[in-house]
Amino acid sequence: MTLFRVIYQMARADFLERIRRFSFVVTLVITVIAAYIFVPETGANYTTLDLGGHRGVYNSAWVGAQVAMLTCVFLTLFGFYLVRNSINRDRQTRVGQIIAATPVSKPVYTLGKWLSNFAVLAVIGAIVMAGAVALQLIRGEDTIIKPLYFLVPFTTLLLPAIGLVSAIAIVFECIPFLSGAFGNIVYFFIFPNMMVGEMLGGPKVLGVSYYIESMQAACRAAFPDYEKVINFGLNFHGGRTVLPQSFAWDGIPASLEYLSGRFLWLMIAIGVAMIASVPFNRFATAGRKFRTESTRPPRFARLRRIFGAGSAWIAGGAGAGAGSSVTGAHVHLTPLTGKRSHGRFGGILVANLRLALRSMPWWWYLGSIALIVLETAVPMDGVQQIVVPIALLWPVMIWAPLGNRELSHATQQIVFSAAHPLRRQLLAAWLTGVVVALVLVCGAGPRWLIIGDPHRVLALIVGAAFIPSLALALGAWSRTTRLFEVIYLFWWYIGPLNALPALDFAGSSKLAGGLGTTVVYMILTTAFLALGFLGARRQLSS
Amino acid sequence: MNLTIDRVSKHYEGDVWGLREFSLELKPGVLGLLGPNGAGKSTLMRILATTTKPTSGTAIWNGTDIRKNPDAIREILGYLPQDFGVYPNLSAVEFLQYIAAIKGIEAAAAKRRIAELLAVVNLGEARKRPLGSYSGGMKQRVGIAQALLNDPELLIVDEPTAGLDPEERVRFRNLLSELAGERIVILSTHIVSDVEAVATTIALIGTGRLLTHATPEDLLRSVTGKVWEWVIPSAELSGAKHQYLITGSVRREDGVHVRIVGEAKPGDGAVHTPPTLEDAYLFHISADRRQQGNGKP
Repeated sequence: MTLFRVIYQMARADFLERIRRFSFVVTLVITVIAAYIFVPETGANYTTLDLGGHRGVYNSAWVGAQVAMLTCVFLTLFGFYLVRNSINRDRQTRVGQIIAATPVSKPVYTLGKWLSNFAVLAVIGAIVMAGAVALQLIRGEDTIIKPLYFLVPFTTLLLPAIGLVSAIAIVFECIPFLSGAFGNIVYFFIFPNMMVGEMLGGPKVLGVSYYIESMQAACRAAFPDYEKVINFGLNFHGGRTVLPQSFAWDGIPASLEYLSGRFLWLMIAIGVAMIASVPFNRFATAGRKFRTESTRPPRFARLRRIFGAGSAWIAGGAGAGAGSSVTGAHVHLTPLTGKRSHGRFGGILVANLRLALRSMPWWWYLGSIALIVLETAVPMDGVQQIVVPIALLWPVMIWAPLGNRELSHATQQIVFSAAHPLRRQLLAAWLTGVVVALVLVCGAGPRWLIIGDPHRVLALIVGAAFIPSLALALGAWSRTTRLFEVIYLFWWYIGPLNALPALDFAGSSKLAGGLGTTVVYMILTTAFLALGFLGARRQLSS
Repeated sequence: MNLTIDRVSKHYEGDVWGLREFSLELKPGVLGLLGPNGAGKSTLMRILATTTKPTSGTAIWNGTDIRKNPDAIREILGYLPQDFGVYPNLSAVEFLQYIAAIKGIEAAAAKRRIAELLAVVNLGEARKRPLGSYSGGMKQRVGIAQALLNDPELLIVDEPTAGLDPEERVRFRNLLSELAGERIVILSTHIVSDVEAVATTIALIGTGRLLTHATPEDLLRSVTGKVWEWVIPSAELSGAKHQYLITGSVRREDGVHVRIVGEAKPGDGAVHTPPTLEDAYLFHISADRRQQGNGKP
């Protein structure tokens, strides 16, 4: 019983800490908006669940299942990014040091954190479910509410899925190299595999295939010419109004096989959360890897002679510690009169570059060099489709902290009390991001110039300025790196990687927009930069 | 060189005030800012360091309103916050180089200054180690070094000896004494012995208000004739604690020797004893608490 109380209290404290933050309210608002979008009204120009021009009548069974399935996918992806900081929060608030000194075991701790993640996502799911009930009434095709038709899909589909996501988030937090931005990228590529794997007959992790198969069977019964076409997710049919033909669907039976299958995934999730305790280091700092130091002998032998042997700060030597007398002590510090260089912005920029680059591991530098070399050597098609997009993602760990580096390292009291924190330091931080971006694409730019495509070079420069502006704005206002990491990841995936012209901020893909798009991104860059400055000013005055 | 704090107030939510109408005029020397936890010391420090804005009032540095022109004070400020972080992947040298750059110190001058400061705070040997591997006391010394980087005219140190061992603490006091020639040093702490060692003037702060601003000598004079040593049986100690302001007690063969601060002689056998700053501090703080209606004698 005590064990369950520990897990419960651990989860409760973490849960309350999260839901009392303003960001959670924002999340709920976004969730309600998402729920509204999930059930398109008749005549809308998009669909979310389209069976080759058909869909079910908006009764409780269909609305409940459709919203539960979409929420399942939505929370499996975004939920991960939402909850993946429960252990890190204990590290940052230093509560972890207190917890580490208690008898609580590692599996109990990770289970408590899993339960907190699970509770946060479950609350969101519950709100969407309430929204789904309201939406059935709003759409008005069938106004008889059958609560079980909402409860069954939301509990059997959603709970195991968010349980698994909660556990994966804990695992990622416990494994050092997955705990940062790199982990966010890795999960971004894991998620589609879970989804596609299920659709292709693999493990029914999310469980949506149970429902899709039943819906397809009902559709085929109503429309014999229906072939297994299905569009699941947000689909804009070229801006055309969509008028699907509807059919009656009454849900799926909650068979023992179905329920046990879903329950199994919930158990797997709990198991994964417990396994996460293996790599969890219990907030140990001694084992954390920092850059290794040089073992060269100290170069300050002369100064040490001046200040006395051993540990003296001042010439009083060790004996000074015995009493409170200050007589006889002297400190040699060269006065700095006339040594300030307020105009030298370059110094701050170099210091910021050093600060940003110092935290990067050796393989990042190796990868950067490889990318630059590939940009000069690979055929232009490959550069456009693969190398430049990767180069635009590679420094994400440098860009992400630009807007909240001082807050996350608790150096704001020191840094913001220096002169001109906005005009000099923030600008230098932003320029650091620009310089890094430009260096990473410096192999491709000249090639476009040589082949007579200066517009692409301009677009690339604008893109290099756009990314740190976005990072600065999102970091300064959200006070976290995650918002930028997630939004940028999606932007990058759809824009530069999948060549959607409107979202290709760096104009690197073949189908990239023209000068108009570049101008739009210039405006966006300026707007985000201004937003970043406003956010930083808010941090300064708070 | 002059810093005037003019009716500064800081209002938080509800009825919570960090500072109320706080005024003080400072000249070169070390000001010891003494007060209990939550008295408003750190709030005042942050306002003077321009990292927090006052709700009303302002501070004037050499004729310049720092609320309107915070950069005027930032140029000459050295600030050691009570709670601060470092970049764990940087070494002490790299961290100080970074701070030197944002403080606008020329590279060559910064290099020399950093070497000197790291030697002064005894981090010469650890200068290339990542800060993430430093102990709490070592990080505190890096904090002290960064505060002194720009040879500040105004040095604000908030609980600077927190985390330092006794030997380092004494050395830091010595360092402050040495530095306090032609600059204003504000030392905020609740450790009376730190202030006793170095302060040229002392400001007592309680519940966000200035209780008194005086030299250590004047502060001692304010309780001269009010400090008593009284020997009582052990059994009476508990009752005496409720009745008097006891600033110390020692158990001896003849009973408990208690140190009492109060206007009236506590009882037969009580004798006057020379006051200490701790007596004066507790006397004034206790009087303030009584005035606020939540204190003992």
